[in-house]
Amino acid sequence: MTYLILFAAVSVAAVLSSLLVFLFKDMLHAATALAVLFFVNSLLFVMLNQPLLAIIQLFIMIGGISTFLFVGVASASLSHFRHTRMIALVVLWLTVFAAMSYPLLSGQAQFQGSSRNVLDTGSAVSSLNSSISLFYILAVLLFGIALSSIILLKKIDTKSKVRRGVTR
Amino acid sequence: MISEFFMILSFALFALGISGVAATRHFLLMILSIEVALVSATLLAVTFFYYSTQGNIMLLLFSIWGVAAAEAMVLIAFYRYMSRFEMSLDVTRLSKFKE
Repeated sequence: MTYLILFAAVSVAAVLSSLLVFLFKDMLHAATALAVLFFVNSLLFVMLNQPLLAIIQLFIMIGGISTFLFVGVASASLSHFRHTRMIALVVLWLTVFAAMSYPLLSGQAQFQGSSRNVLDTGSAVSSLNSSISLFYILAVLLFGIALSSIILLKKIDTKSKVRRGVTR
Repeated sequence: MISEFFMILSFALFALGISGVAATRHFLLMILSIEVALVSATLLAVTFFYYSTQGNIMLLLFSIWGVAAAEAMVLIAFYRYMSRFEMSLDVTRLSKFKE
């Protein structure tokens, strides 16, 4: 039961963060929401008893998403326009999701997996407490440093622009 | 049953990713939505690995992550090209590339 509640919370966080990618107007915020999605995905890997893949996913989050953050900050002056049609997004999302999951939900197709169940192992959630938690702390710290340095750079840039405007 | 929950979650993320590509006209958001679809692909691959297969999934996952990395490189190159010519990030105005 604990596993189901944890899975529900993590999956809601995944869907919300991926929706926020399109809801935010600022690219910096959108890329941060994508980073949260990567983080949540690594949590799902831990729930599937794959700690090595979770660590690799964290490294991808730090390396790849930092690139998107830099590009997003650099394009700040270029991206002020209404970019996403939200109604079209929601309608397309529901249609494609219904089309993909209908065979699974209606029972026409069944997942032919083995009888191995993550509830039987009991080690999926407890593995969070072992050595992998150090990697999570490290990843969050590194990503926080990257994000805060970008925000600091933006503030310094804004102040220098204001000063130049005053002197002129 | 748990595995089907994981599959449905990855279907939802994938559907959101590809509908994001169709619904937005921001160049960078298209790239980000493709990343969302790739995340769902890795999640589905790991789910199948955990519940059914006994083989090595690392090659498949590294190929997916390699596609994501290559996509970031293409993004940077394309963005540099656009910023050199002071282009907009609105993809509906990309016809200016013909000039």
